Amino acid sequence: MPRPGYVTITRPNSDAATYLGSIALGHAVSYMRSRGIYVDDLAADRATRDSVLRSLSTFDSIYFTGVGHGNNTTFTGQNQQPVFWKCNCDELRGRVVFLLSCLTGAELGPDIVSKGGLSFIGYKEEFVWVQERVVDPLTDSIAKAFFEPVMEIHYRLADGYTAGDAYRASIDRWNYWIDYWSRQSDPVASTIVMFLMHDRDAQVLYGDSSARIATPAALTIVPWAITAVTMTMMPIIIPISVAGFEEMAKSPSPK
Amino acid sequence: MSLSEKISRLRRFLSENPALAGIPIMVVGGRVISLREAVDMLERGVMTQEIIAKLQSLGLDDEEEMWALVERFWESVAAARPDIKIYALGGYIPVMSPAEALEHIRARDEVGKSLVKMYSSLLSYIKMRMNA
Repeated sequence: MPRPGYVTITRPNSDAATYLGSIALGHAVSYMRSRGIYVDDLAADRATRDSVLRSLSTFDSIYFTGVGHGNNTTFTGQNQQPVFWKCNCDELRGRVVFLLSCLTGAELGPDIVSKGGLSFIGYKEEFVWVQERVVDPLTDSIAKAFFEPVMEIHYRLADGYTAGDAYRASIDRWNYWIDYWSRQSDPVASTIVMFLMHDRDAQVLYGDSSARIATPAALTIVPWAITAVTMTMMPIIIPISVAGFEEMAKSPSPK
Repeated sequence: MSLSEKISRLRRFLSENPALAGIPIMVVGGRVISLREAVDMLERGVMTQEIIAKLQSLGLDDEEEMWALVERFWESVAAARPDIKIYALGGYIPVMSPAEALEHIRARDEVGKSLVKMYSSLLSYIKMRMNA
């Protein structure tokens, strides 16, 4: 039974597109860790099928995600080596899967779910984006419009929301940026709108939309809040307790 | 809807969506024109019937016309913003410039076909927004 709170992620960087995607997904790694989730981050040369299978076997992660080139049937890692392909994805049984990759939503995603994958989010067409500079996509004035919707999925899942919630939040973010760029008069704005629409319409969710990878934030806030209140009250509780103890010490012991 | 109402609606759409005003949207009289030009022509009463008909079938253009629109679109992107790059997580091409995109369109290869499909979706989106 895959373990909630454990994540395996692949971040190849062997060409221009995966290099930038890998940087962007670094934010997802940091965010998930800040939420107390254990992340096995298979970056660069570790983004291979062997490493992924070892990671899933060791940690039994509830969530498998990554960036990589893909086609209808295959998701790849470093140097475009296949990681999972159609009819060869049994290791994803019981897990939530999100692949930032072209086309894997067309056949591989349905196959993952049909073989017991909990839920799958991906893209049934090419995942395309526009970037001005070779920098972290989330700091690029154009590319952030493409990567914020992607990050929304990771962030929501890490916060304990369901796959369906994460998917819808991502679509809302795509729509926000489509609307934003439609209103700009920059000569490249129409190109951006075109690719944003394309990616949004290609994004798919299959399987159990109520699946989660982490405990909902509300449930983790309650014990945290009790602890915080107790700590805040300590300067009051301790003197009262001490005073009570002193009173008890003064009073004659019952016979 | 009367012609003047239609023109006023189109004008409002143009002012709310400046990004989409200048893109090639149809071929009329053998010439590629933008939405802004189409509205100007409607106001002047030039080729009214043809433009109205084309607006109603936006995104469903004849294949040859669609190639012409896409080529014109990428010519303008390549001229205005040669600095940007287009990235993809598909197997065939991880990165290309607007000029390279234009070459794929002229070659009518798989990348070119993919760009035509995306452009057709953009035109359908414009039609939907104009009618919203």
